[in-house]
Amino acid sequence: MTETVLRVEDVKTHFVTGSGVVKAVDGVSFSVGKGETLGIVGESGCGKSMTALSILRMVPAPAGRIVGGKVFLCGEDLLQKSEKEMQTIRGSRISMILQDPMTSLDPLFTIGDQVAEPIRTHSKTHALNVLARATEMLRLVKIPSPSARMSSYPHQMSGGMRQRIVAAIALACEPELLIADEPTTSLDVTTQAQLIALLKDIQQKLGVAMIVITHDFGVISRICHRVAVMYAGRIVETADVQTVFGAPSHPYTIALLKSLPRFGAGLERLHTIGGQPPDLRDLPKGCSFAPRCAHVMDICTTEFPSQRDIGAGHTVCCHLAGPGRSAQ
Amino acid sequence: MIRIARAFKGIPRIPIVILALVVAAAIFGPWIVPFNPEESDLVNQFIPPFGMEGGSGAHLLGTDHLGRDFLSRLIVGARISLMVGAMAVFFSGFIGTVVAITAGYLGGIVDAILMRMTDAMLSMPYLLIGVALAGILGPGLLNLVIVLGVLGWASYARVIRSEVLKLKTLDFVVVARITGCGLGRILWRHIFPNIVNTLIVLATLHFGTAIILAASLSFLGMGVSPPTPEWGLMVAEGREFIDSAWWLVTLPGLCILLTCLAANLLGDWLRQRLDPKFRERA
Amino acid sequence: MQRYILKRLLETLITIWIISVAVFMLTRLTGNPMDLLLSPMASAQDQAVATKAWGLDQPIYVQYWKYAYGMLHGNFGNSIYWGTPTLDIFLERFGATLQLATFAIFLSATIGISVGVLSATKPGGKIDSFGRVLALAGQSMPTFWVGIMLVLLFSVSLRLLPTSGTGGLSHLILPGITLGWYSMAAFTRLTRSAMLDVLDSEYIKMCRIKGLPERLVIWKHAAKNASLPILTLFGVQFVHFLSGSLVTETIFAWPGVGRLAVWAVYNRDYPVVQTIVFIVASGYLFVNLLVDILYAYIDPRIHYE
Repeated sequence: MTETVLRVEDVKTHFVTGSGVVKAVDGVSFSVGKGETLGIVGESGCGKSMTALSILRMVPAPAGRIVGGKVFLCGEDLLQKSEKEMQTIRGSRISMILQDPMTSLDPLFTIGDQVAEPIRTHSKTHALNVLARATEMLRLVKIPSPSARMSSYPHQMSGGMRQRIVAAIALACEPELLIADEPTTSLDVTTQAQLIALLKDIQQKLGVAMIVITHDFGVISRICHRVAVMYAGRIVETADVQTVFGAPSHPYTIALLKSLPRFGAGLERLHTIGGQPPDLRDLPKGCSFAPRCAHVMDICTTEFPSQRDIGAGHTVCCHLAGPGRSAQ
Repeated sequence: MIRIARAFKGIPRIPIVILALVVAAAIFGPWIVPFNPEESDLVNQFIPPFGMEGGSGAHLLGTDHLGRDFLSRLIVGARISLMVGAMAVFFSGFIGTVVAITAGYLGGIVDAILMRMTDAMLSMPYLLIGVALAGILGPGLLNLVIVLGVLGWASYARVIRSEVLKLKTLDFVVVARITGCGLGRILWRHIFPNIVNTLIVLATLHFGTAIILAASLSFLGMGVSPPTPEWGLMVAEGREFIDSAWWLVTLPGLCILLTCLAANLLGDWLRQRLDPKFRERA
Repeated sequence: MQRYILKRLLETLITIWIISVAVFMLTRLTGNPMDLLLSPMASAQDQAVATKAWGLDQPIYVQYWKYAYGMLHGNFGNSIYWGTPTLDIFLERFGATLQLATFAIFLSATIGISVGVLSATKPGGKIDSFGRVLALAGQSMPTFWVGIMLVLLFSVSLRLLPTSGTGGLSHLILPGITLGWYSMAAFTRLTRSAMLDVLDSEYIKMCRIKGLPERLVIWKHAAKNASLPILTLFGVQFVHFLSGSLVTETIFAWPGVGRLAVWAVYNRDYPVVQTIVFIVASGYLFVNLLVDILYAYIDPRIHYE
């Protein structure tokens, strides 16, 4: 059993808006072990990014607040820490890669400066060694001629290279946990493959625990060990990657996988999931997916399905799943 | 039509009320004023506003150095300012839009020349040019409008041109060109409707500036001439008597301030509503 | 970088040329420039001399050439009223305007930028609300009224400060505030807006994710990025200052170029007007050129266009 790096317990993050309280994250629980990659997958707006920001305690205030739950990093509850303590944790023990490499780097400072910043902030490394280490990080993410690149500016590099530099920044202090928020969404397919391969390689080298947030099942299949499926601010299914693809239990997961276009399947209409995701200010009583579910029962609209264990690390929030039973 | 009506939902009340009052004063002014604003009454000079020592209910805002009722002058002044402001905005907006669309859409050497001219215009200290031009043309309402029109077109041109440049590359315009739409049709039916929003915002904001500029020119003696009750001119006239009749300089300026403030508030609100690019953080 | 500077310099010179043409056309508007450029009491002999000097009996492009040639050699014509070179008259008064303008811009930039930064770091707070109201009001007030109100309050009612003339700091304060008022409002609004935009960006988010201390986030990253539009504003304010100085100097009897300009127009001394317009406009273009070059030093993306 690998050592648990991150354990998220029933985290709730709400936003107070003029038109109601938006429950962006509504009771999310999962854990990630050392050297393991957890994928969080779901539609846009389901709360994946907000979960990541909640872990980092960077929820946009004053409208947003974490209203409940616990986040344990190697046993310490991050939600109890002061802002100053969080500043020492961010960038050194937990790191994040953002979606758009074109805007993640400050255009006015050199690459070298930006990679060196977390090193300087979080360690007492001597000035000369800081630059050497920064160059090492660029080499680690396979940037060609890293020493020359230290004095380049972001606008002189392509999107793929910038994303790798962001990865270098994120890994500069050898964090225990790396969160990648849609790291491949803004990249073209070839560059995506390179980045995923790089992240996998680094994880093996450094043993870092990773959370990859994405809506792309292709990425999930290539890099994740386990997957959590999110819908309307809640996790509806968690399982290892083979089970999610081979024997999904929750109707939403099944529908998502069905809607993926399949190679070699001939001309057929793409499946879609009818209806719309619910308004996060006004979640329905009971299961949030009920209005769109093909297998909806009476109990689904009145009682929220609590998480149930259906075998080897496979949990699901669905009334259809009793212990051992699946929806199919 | 529905789009415009929907756009007006949630309009800020204060600027609208102020502007409505000013517009009402402008339209109905000459009929509702208690006294003739241009009629002197040398027996009743320098009566302070009502509520102050020596004030009377007959002249709510007092009288000026020639005994003319101040309230009446302020009300008729609204008409002058509004007329000048509206005409200046129309004039500038028209020239600016034509220049912008021509430069932006045609590109090349036409664009280069027009843009250099616009830059030159924007680099000239506007009041200085205004004063010089007004001096040459002579005083009067129409000349004032001409001067303001000439001073204002460049800001419109610059902003609208960048809008046109962005629009030019958009698919629907390219498609229109490919399918053989004539130049006029493209400009009128595709380009123009998409810059109207920006134009409205610019016009509203320019309105306030135009009123201030008109008042400044009149203050310096280059705009309208006495006995016209223009707010800026009234401040200039009252300046001599600043230590005895403070209301002569304070009140007209306050009118300018309120009108311009209302226009600016409205313009800012419009900017947020009509043009998401300009969205200001709340 | 050199190429960028040269390109901008060329653009500036071309625009200055256009301005010279515009100024030239200004006095040819009425058809007979002698009305504007010569004293009405000029003798027939003076008129003949002028006709020859300005080429009034020759085609317009010859006239322009004579005019431009003169300017390139420092000859900007003579004042009708004084008979002395307009350039000298301008330079005599330029110092006073420069002094006032420098004081005003220092005042407005310092206060405006500070309030703007404070507003942006605590949006919705007390300083923010106060700053926004002040800024909006500031841009809705005509400069001449600000000046007169200040005089009313501080000179007439409170008798604290002098109403006019030059002389030490006490004479500089009221005109300085008057001149700088509009700019202060502009600086406040722009700084707030620029800072908010920058603070909302992904790279600032990234800085916080890196765990950088807040002072580095604000003063190293946010400030440098926000300084770009603020720098541009400095250049733009120059134009407002020169316009504002016309009114301010008139109200406070400040012996500068602005007051000279108003006087010259009123008294129909057009050679003086012509010179002032040309020099001031060209000056503004050079200030803008400097701002652009400075910009290119701060922002590495610029010279790669």
